[in-house]
Amino acid sequence: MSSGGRIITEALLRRFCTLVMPRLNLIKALLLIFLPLAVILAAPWVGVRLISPGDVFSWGSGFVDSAEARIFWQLRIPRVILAWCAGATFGLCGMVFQALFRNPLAEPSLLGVSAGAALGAAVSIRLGLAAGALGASAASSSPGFLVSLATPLCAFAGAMLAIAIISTFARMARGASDATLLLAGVAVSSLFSSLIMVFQYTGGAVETYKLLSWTMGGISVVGMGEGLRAVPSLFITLALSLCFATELDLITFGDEIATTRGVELERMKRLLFAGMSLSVAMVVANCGPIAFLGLIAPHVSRRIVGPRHRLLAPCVAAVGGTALVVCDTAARTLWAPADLPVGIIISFLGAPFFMWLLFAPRHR
Amino acid sequence: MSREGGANGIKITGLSVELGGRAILSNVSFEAAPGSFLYVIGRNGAGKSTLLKCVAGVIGGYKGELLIGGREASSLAARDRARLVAYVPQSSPGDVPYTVSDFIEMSRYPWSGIASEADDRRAVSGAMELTGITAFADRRISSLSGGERQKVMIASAIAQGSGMILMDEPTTYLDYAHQVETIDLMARVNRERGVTMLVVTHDVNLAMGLSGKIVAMSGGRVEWTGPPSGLLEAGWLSRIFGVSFDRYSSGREGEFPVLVPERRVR
Repeated sequence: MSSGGRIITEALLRRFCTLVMPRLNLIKALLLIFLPLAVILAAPWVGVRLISPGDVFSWGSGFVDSAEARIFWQLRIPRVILAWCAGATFGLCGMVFQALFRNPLAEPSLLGVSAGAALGAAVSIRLGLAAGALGASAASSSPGFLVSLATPLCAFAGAMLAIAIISTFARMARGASDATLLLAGVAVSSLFSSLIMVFQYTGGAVETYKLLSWTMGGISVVGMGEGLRAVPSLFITLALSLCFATELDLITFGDEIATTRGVELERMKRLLFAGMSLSVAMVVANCGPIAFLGLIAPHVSRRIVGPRHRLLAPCVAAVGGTALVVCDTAARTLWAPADLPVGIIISFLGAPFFMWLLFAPRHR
Repeated sequence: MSREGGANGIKITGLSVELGGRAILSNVSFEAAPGSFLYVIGRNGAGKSTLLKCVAGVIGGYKGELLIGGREASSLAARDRARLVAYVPQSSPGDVPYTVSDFIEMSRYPWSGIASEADDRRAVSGAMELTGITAFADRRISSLSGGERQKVMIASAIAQGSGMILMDEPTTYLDYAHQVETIDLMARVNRERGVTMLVVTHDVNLAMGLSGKIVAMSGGRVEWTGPPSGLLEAGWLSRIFGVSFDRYSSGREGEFPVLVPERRVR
């Protein structure tokens, strides 16, 4: 080809790239908005029993009062909302912890928060405070309201205990490296896990079963009130990660760079650590420790939108929320009428996917 | 005071730092005028890097007085300080997933809400042009060589728009060509933009060639301060570095001799 031809081809190619590349991002953006929406809108109809729109809505009177409609409004919709908020929260916490600890493996369950919550739940179940299978089945009737909250409250207390231990450690060992702090989390986690196993081993069959299914992570909701329990967590985590987006970017470059570029490191770390831990504690208290999501959602999202937290945070929320809703829908459908703990599905589907992600060639 | 474009000086009086009960800096005092080029030299462990980190704000809890642009450093918020001094660490993080232009844009953080978007864009593109990294603006930092990465770090410090740049051993890990480029770059930033340079090095030839003033440190103290020519007198060099030097003329008029440390075994 003549050099003139080559120049023209190159120019055309460049023109093509500048035209198509922004659209490619537009496609990504549309996908990130509409795929989660589609999943949210579709999930409540799917389950042990397929519900058709005719069971819930009618052209004449608006809402229909049927068994299906009650399942739809009291069980399915709240469950989807809880799953979405919980998944998004786990993902965002993983994202922030990965930035703060500058470690791609950091996630909420690694920091002892999940184990603390599980211990709290174990104590409540052992003391017989839990109502029904997961503190849920008796909750719709009046006597169980306080009882239904017992397990989440105890789990929350356990998570806060873990956080208190780790942050006390961090304060005492001022100047301890991030890796040390992470290892302290692992130690706390393993300590609490051993205590949980003591409870499991010495408990009766029913208690042990309840405890086991709780620690596997499961979403079980009755009524809108329970469905909205993770909304504040999602709000806190998303607001914090968007407010501190540039700071999180800078912290990836290390404490020295972040400080000398003007980030008030100590104050910011304290605030983020507290806010994220609190949110995780709230979610874990309601859904059990769902591992892996905090790891996988940020890594997938970085592949889609790149590392900058301003874009990454909404993407992580979308990916994490959607993943948990999909897996939870699978969990209550695949083995119907049994409800599989969603944690099992997440790990089963997530592990091979994550392996593929790690070893797949990168675009750039 | 926090407007862009002005040079800042520093004045250090009686600065002392202890880390883990050990005195790293004791009673350090010196001054750098706005727009000057100052080298801090000395052996490994003489306290040079610690001194630089104090000025940068990475290390706090010192005793003594540290004035940056006339303001006590410990009373400055991190963002205010970042508008006065920029810092280029000895080794830059290599495994970050960001692109070069992402990183340079982030350096504008201390000016967010103060500078206009147009100012930000001008500072970013100006810094990338001056350092010659525009060609790999879209590459990931993790894919760059050590020399390219050093230029990116310098570009980031320039884009930060502060009146003083601190550099810790800027040429230590670089090959000859990148060393020369880095040295020329530092000189240009100092002359063309009027930015005060405070550079730490153990390379005495580098320090002699560029600076207006040298601060020589040893054991956490300032051993000697003065213009480069004074360093050649009365055995100062061997006292500071712990070895004797042979001197060779570069053959060019008005240049300092090249100093080569004397080997003890031949």
